[in-house]
Amino acid sequence: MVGADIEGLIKFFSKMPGLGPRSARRFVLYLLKHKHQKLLPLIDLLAHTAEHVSECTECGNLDTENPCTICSNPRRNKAHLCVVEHVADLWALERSGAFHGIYHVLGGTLSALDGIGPDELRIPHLKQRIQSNQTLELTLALNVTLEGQTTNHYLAAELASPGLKITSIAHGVPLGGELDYLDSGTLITALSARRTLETES
Amino acid sequence: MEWLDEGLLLRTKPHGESNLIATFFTQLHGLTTGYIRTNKKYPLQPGNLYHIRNKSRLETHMGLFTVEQHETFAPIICAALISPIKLACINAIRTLLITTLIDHDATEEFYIRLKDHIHEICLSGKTEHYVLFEKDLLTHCGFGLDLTRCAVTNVRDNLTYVSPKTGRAVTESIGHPYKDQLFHLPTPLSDSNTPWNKADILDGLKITGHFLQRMLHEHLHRAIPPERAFLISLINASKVTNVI
Repeated sequence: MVGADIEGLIKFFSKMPGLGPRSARRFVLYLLKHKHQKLLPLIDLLAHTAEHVSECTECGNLDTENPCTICSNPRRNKAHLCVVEHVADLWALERSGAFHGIYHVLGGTLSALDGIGPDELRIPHLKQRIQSNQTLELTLALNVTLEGQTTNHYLAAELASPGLKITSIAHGVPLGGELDYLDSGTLITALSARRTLETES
Repeated sequence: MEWLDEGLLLRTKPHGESNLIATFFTQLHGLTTGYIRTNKKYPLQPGNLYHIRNKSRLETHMGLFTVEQHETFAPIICAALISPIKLACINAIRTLLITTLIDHDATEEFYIRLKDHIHEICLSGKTEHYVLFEKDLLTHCGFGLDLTRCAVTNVRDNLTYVSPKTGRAVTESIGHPYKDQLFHLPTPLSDSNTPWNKADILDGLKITGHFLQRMLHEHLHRAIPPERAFLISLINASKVTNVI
């Protein structure tokens, strides 16, 4: 039996992504056992984060600075804008280190069934940014779902303008993927997007 | 309660971290919703066709679904994902099915025709099958249009107008004095041998849209989903005049 406060803490942590009641109990017990090494520094970190982290008014990323470190980095290519669905997608692309432009977090995808229209997303702000940054290339890196692709097509139609190249990320076989284990849809998409191999001769 | 069926996935709502509440339009059980324990590695795709095994304690309970993708539908959904109009058709179809149908109201014939329409839209690029889908949906819901003979003279030729009140066709000579109050009937809608063009598709959508609006507004107190208007705007904007 544990006290109501600790029980409340366990219940709170059990609602976190990746944690269930059992892992939340272990987590809380670990924190309580290591009060000075883990619990108190965690409290400081959380308080600092809550106070300083905010949504970037430019791209929608979460950072301690506003505009975020990506938007304020002068070495970033401001003419290349990449549209992603959520901050997690932005972080995933950043981890890859393959993109050197700036981002725009939409905050979701269009879905009338869930009541999400263009005004619920950051689409008007995206239009403003394209104009103010004089964007030359817009890369749509949205999920390959029905909603993601609908949003892709909507944005492509809505934002098309002379001088703006609109691209989307490729779909197909993942690196390390074995064809035998892939679904037919992925294989069809991969085959239709096949490319000529470059040879030295 | 256990059954096996196949169905078109219309909508998923996340429940917890990886599980879903999914709504299918099935062949034998109509519109039905169930709980799915999913694996993030193989996400379910709305618009796709699945084999479904349902397990529930009572018929009225929400069942636990085990699903497996129907391989034959994969090329269809792939074709839809890369084409704005095909994708808009799929979106309009699934939102209309959710908005208009009631749970467990199955008609095998409508289901089979729906699959054919999706097949034709996505693989053959025949957007007119969307109009035919809406016509079939109206029939399934009890608002069938009678476009095969004149409501006044009973003749089958020269049908040119449709009454917005009865949904029945009339000939040019009968309808002409009232033509401002009637819908223009596209010829392919009454004669399946005539090829469709863009104007026919838009005229057909005007007729089905009117009756869908009436059915939804008067009986279900709902509005037509905006996906339909988006599809019409794409068809309007398309440059091709015959096949889209």
